[in-house]
Amino acid sequence: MAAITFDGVSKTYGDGFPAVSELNLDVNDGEFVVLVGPSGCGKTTALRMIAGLEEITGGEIRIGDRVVNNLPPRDRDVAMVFQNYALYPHMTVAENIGFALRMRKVPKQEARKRIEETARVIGLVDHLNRKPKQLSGGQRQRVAMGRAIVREPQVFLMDEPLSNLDAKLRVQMRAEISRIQRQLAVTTVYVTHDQVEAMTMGDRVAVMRRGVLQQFDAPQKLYEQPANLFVASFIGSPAMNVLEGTLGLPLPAGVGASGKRLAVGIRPEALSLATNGDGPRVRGVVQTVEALGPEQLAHVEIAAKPVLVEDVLEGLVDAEQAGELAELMTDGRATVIARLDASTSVRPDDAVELAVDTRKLHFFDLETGEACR
Amino acid sequence: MATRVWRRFREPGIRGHEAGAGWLFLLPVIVILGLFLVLPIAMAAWVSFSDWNGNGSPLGAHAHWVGLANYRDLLTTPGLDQNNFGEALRNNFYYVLLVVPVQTAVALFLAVLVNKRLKFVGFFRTAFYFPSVTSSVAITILFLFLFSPSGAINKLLSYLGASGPSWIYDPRGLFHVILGQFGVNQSGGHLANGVFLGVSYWDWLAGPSIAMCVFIIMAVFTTSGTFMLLFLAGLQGIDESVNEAAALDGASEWNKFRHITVPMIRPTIFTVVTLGLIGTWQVFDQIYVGTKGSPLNTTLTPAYLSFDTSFNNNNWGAGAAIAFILFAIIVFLTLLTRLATRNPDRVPRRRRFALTGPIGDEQVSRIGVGS
Amino acid sequence: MISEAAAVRRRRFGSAMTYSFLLALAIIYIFPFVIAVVTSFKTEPDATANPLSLTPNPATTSAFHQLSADQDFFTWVKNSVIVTLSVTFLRVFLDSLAGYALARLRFRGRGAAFATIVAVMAVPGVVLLIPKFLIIRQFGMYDTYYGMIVPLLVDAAGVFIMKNFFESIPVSVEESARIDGANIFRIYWSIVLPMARPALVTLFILSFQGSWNELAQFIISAQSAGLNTLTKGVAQLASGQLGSGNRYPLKLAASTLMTIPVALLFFVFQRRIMNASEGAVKE
Repeated sequence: MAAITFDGVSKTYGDGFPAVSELNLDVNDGEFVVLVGPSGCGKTTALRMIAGLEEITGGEIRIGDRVVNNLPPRDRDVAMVFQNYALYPHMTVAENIGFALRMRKVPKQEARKRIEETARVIGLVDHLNRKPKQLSGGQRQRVAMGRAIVREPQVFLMDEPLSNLDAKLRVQMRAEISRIQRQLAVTTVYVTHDQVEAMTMGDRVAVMRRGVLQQFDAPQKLYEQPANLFVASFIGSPAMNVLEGTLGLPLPAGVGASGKRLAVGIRPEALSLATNGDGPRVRGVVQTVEALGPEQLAHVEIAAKPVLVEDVLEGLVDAEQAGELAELMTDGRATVIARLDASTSVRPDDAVELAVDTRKLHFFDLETGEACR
Repeated sequence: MATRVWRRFREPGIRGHEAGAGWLFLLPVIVILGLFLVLPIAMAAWVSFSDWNGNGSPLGAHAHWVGLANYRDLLTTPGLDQNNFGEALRNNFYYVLLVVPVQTAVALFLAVLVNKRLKFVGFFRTAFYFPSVTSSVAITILFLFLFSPSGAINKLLSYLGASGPSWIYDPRGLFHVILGQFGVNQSGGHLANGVFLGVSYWDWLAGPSIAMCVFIIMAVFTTSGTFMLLFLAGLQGIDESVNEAAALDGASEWNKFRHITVPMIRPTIFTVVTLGLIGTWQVFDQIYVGTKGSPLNTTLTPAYLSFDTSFNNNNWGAGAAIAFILFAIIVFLTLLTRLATRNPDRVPRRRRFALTGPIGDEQVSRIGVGS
Repeated sequence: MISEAAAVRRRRFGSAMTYSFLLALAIIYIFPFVIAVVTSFKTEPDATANPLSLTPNPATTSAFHQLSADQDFFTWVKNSVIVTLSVTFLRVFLDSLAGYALARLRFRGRGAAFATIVAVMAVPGVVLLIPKFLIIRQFGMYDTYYGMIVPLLVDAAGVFIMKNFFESIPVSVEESARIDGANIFRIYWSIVLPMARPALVTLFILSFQGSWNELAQFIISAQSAGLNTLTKGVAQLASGQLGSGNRYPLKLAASTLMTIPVALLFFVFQRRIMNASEGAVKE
């Protein structure tokens, strides 16, 4: 086990393209950290730099107390699960798992014991003599994990290991990976583009964008206190409603005094159907209602301008939403999504009043995108 | 009946006269194949069973059926024919024995080097492949010059303090020379007296002659480039992430090569070996241009012997017979390699993993069982 | 575990090793040709006495003069050109016809025809020397250009290359031509063939190379000196028919000149050639 430290780490390609810029990150010993962000944000590059599969052009990476910038991968005591599993096709499951032990000249008896134990942990005891092409996708993924587990390394690295599995399997495996990590207590860095995965698995999550770290916090903090517009839009599904101005909503102390242009962010669950006359509210007309069983998502058109800067658009995982917003830009009217209880009765074309929970408002500086505290 | 055929032609259906066109397009190639491949083989087979001496047509009055006489003369009847054939077989055998492994290894080594993402890799690839583009005539002349007794190679060796042999004039067998260094020579009666195909056992152990070694080196020089390309294609089919995984697992460059790379390019290796076998058993051009079998018949090969027996000695029956025996050897070896290539999905016994203890319930975690 | 500094050193050392291996091997592979060219410009005594030296002393073009003065050499060139160009163009045409038929046209026996061609590829070339001679003689083609050219048109590998290429062209192009009323030959000639240019060029280059460098076929198909190609003529040179002994500059000059066309072709089209070599021999 060991802590991992990124100290001002940069990676610039030959043509000048900055894949990672001045990354500062501390992973604690035994912690499960997720690197998340849209494609091209540098998360995989950062992961591969820990493994030694990418050259570091600036800064230092430390594993434990050792600077590992120039240490070859085989000497770093780091195990990695690849997105395409990278199993050795000509070897059996047992040989795949045991390969690293063979390279370290682990005595045969001990190696066999460890292989067998690992096979039990990943549930493939009956498949030890099969070759990868005879296994299903899920089984192959588990062999890839077994290869990493058997080594008892200082660090686990995982590069989108679940992205090739179907949705149901993915949910199952998520839970298992978390459980195994907690059991083995190995420092783990996990890369994904799926923010749901990030939020459910990580002790702390690092949101990256275009090579720059946006925010590094526990999942709940990211959700409740996003540092900027990008994080606010990226985390949470459906995405936060971001509108220009303040809509007359009360500002927290210290915000708004400097005369900057502001934007307000309201999460869908901060909106509810107004019942009594108090409190700030927003009026609008219901466009569509999506029934999701335990709740409903009401798309309500209100008199406000949506914020459509890149930060927000890039953060919107749901491309459909982005398209919708762009359509309405000319009208000067925004469609917000409200999360309503299933028992609430709303229908399209209803004129409604939405109550806003002022404890859950976020304000952002429109120029910089930073959150105002 | 005729009207039916005629109607088929007039109303050819949606695909038009495709069948007709198909055969028409194919016709030239088929005709040439038939005339200059199938027919010749049939004719040659006839000649190998005849005593034709080159006068007139082999299908005419000058050729008489002699059954297996030609084959017997080569294989079982002691005499000059058998002698020559035995020596030719021995020479070609050692040629194959040395060239195939060496050219395969060299080609693989070159491919691995060239596969690394280094600068100027294109230049190196070109340099290694260039000899394959030249004609055997040019290369043979070049090597005869380099390996002449006063030539460049011997000059180089003299700089290193050694004195080179007379290369293409030296009929001594390589193994004889090596054994000689340890004091082993012909005086052992058993080996000298036993004879197979007209060649004594001792002579069978001679190895390739020094002269033949020149041709061996030449073969590796010219073919390593072509096979390097084949290996390159195979190497590039290996996903980079597998190499990365091996690196993380603690494999050194050599371990990666031995345990990952080589097993994953098995099919390519077998292709190269098969092509090598087929090619080396047919060596002819270089012998014709270079030594024509001398010195002392140590660079004689079955292919050249077949040519010489027929065209120079007018013993066409024997020449054709040699060609067919050669054919049989090549087919046999090809089938052998085919059999060896078959990749069983069943894991051989020694690689099977056997469980040591019973599976305890407490230790088992059920992960996505059934997936 | 090794230290940072040691790791950097080890990596740089690895690269240096690879480069030095490559360089050493490249020198070994190139040096013979350099010597060949240089020796063509040496005098005979110089060539014998200083085989390794890279500077002719004195430098002379007498070897080349000898070659050009000797009428034979031009005959050889003429014959090589005639045969090579004929074989190359014919092969390209015939192989593309056959390849197209096998790839696109449906007719009974297509499978059998294809299997035959594949089987044909398996027959070792040298075994066919005597058989081909017999047939050439039987058809009265011995000692003629026909005898030299026609047997070389048997080219199963070329048919393969064309067939594979045609299969990779989308059928829709031909189908729309069919709807537009084109007959089969039209489709082949005006639509598909122009699209096949890369494969045709590859086939052209490989055929040129193969027939220019061919020797055995010419040995068995002709005997008069007037029909000698470069390969056969230079081979006779090497066997010392123009007086034995060390006429190395002459022989090497002939070899060098003989190699120039294929070398040129190679350097211009190397990428294509090297890609084709990799792919064509895949089983």
